[in-house]
Amino acid sequence: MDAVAPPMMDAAIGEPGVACTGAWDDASRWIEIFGEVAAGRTEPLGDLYDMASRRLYGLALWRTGSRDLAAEVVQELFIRVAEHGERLASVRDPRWWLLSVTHRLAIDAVRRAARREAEPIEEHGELAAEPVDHARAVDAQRAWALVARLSAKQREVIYLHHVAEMSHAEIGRCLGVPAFTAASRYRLALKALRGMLGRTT
Amino acid sequence: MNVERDPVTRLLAAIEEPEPPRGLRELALAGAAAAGARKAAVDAWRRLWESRPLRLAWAVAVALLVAANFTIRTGSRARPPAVPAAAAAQERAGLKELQAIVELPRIRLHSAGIDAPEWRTTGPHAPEPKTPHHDQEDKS
Repeated sequence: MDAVAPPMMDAAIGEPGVACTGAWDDASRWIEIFGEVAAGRTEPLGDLYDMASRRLYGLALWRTGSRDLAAEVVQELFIRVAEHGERLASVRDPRWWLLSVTHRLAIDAVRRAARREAEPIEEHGELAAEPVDHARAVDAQRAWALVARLSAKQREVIYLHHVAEMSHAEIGRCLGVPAFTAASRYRLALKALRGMLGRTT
Repeated sequence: MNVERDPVTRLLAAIEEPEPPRGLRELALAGAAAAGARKAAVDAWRRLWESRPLRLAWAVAVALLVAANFTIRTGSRARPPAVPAAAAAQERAGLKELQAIVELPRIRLHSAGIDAPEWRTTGPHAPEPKTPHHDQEDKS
């Protein structure tokens, strides 16, 4: 697997608008941003990207298994945000709305992609950021090697639960399925991972 | 479940959110700006439609059309039809003719008809009233 530059170095080079994942939980800020975009202002879209890009890109990447498709999904998502215009003001929870739209766009992207099978996602070592800690990096590397072998639906649930730290109810709401279904997919995914881990150890 | 004991959750806990690729921010924001510009052009018609004076003018026009349609329909029903009047006049004329045929003229004003009380009393031997046809037949 190709070595991946640690994300901290990438940020230090000068990538504008470093993602502020801590702002994800600030519900009032989301409402404010959506309100401003609904009013026709485009400047808050930059803040929206900074706050949400990592999580949305990660969800798209884990769902599609392709960096190119994930990038297309994020671009399409922002186009949808701009096209919604004043309707954004009626969105009750912008975070779940963004995740839900990302989920649907990722599904559409996979369907459109004809060459997905030719690029197994194990070759994409960037399913997750390269942790700084070496031991953690080893664990992460083993983890995504296993996760890559799950189905797209199971990968998605694992990402939303473990990386995005969402509950099963929130995951179900984001994916448009009952919470029980989300929980069931998660249990099956863990079971599959344990099976794969047991065979590898 | 203890994260440390479960190897799977321990491994999963090591995963962090991936970093979006360089340049994606500019691409995403540029696409959003282009979409917003397209939406503004399309929405010009919608803005016209959402204009209150225009909506009011449209509603008034529709109301006038409906009223005009209603007026034309009811006005045509109130006028009496020409053909039925002519037919009625012709019928009345025909009835008069028929009445004239039915009402046979009496040759002798003083002669009573068969429904006269005098005929009933005298019986059928009462002299038959002479008609112009009978006179002619005698001559031939």
